[in-house]
Amino acid sequence: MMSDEDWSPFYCLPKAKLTPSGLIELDNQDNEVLLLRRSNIEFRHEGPTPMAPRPKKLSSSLIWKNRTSYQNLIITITTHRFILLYKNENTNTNTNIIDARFVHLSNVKLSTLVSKGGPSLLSPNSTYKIVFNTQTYDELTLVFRAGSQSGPRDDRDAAIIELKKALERKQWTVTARLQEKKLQQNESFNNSENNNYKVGLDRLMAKSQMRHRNNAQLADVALSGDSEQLLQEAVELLKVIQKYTVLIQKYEGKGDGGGDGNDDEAAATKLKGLLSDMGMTSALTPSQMSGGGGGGGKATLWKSRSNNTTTDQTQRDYHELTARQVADFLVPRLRKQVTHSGGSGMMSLTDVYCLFNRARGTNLISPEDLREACNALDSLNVGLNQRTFPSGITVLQLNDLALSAHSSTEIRNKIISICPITSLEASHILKLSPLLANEQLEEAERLGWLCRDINTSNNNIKFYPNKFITDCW
Amino acid sequence: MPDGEYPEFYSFPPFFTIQPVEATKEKQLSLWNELIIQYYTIQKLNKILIVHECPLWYNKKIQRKLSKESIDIIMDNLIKSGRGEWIDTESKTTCRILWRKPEELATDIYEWAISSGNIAGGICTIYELHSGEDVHGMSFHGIDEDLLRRALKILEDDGKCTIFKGETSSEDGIKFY
Repeated sequence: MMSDEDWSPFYCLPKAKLTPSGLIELDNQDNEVLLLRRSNIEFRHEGPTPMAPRPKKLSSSLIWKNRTSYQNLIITITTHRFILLYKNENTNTNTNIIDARFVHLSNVKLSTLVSKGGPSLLSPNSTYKIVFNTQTYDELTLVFRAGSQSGPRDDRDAAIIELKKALERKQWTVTARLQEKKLQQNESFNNSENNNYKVGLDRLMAKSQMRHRNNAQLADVALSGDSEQLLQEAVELLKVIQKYTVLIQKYEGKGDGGGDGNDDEAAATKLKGLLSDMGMTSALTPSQMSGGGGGGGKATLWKSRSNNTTTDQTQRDYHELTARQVADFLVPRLRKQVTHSGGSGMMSLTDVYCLFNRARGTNLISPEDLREACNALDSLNVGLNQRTFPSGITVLQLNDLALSAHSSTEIRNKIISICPITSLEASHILKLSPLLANEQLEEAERLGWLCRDINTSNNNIKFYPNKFITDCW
Repeated sequence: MPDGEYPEFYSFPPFFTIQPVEATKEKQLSLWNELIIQYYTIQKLNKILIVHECPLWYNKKIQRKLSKESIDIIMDNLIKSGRGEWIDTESKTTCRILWRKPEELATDIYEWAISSGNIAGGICTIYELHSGEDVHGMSFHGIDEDLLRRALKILEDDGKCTIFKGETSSEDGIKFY
């Protein structure tokens, strides 16, 4: 952890919000999108005065260090910020401390952004750097050390390209601008002379015509840009689709009645909630993560895996990141299922794979990557773990709901209370596939909570509370 | 055994499925032993279990029947626990139920001998020991003669009795010390 004794550039940056599983939380409201991630970064500051704030715990020995002593920071560049991540993995205590700090791109002066360094005749050991001036922190330097398979130079070059693009695009201003435009449009519509004699259905028609025009415009803009832009515009398009759905509902439900904006908004919000529930806003491919050139990052990773330890690290990083994403994605869903319908807080790996990729939409992950990611879950302490049943079925389940000798009596009683029961019946109650329901019952049987009855006439297996043990016959 | 006298677990359906979990199975098999012994002692007949005739394997009321394999497991366990022994060790169709092990029987007989005054030098016959009026309610009442002889052999080895040859085997006399 960054201690208060440590007064270095990293310490002075504001903290970035993390998800429960330790991923960087993006500003979905503002359409923030991940662009790039690189590891082994050192962060430096150059200026006439030390950066603020000065640590509260002021000891006399505390001196300003213009570079952070940690040289293995991970940088993540989004459309809005760049985030530096410090990870303290102590395998002994099994703690996993993550500290993330960010610099908002609006703070960076684009004109000053340059790449520097690299070995030269005079200084053969010079590192690759990105240097830029900021509004509030004076001059900052990002040093790229040998981190990924592609080498620090490629890392640096990729990073500066993304930074420049993001700075030129100024995505953080877009939403504000859009809102302003919308406001103006509404005003102009309300103030237009047409409005004066258009009432009822006529007015509605005019309004919808106006919307059509705007949407056509939006589609034009969206389709003209490059594919990356398209991805971002897709969010806008989604809103358009939502609007249409709402419109349809409204007309079906109300005929030509005066549709007021409130219903409209409420329904749209609900729909949006549903949609965002299904999907995630961003997902990086291995190549965006590690710096394998262009597409086919997976293939290059595989090839170089065996002989390159750095790549192993990258691979692990990617899997850990994916594991955290899976946890962020799955834990709330499982919790919801448990509270709403009495589910048992588990999902088979195949289901996870389908749902997770469905949510990613693009940049699908391979089954191998998911397996690796799930193997990493246990060590991350994110409340989700992987379990393989003796039959070979693998599931992800919420730690606190897993059946074990340490389970709470509540969990134990819950499963006993539904007996006598067949696995098919249990699958309805436990909200699991019959296969998983059976695994769950057999697990309870192994723990001595249940026992089985095989009806020889039809070979049906029914589970009963284990009275052999509990009833002291 | 009348319906009401069957223990509660006899109508618990899982009782008729050999449990896969070891701890549960252990308890289940011991309940089976208990049931078999109880049944054959109440029957007080010859305490001989003929495997393919035993009515316990099928509980009509709950429609549960032990499979052939399950019966084998239960019988094996009964023998292993010392509560039964095959009369025909090869074909394993008939089993003697030892509701008291010979050692326990020996103790029972000796205690009876003391309390009934037979210890004072009187002689009783084998017949009297398993079917006599004096032994009503004793654990060895109605017992198989072979078993009785085994118990007496133990006592004899301990020097607590002597067996005299009679004219017929059931007229063999026993003198307790």
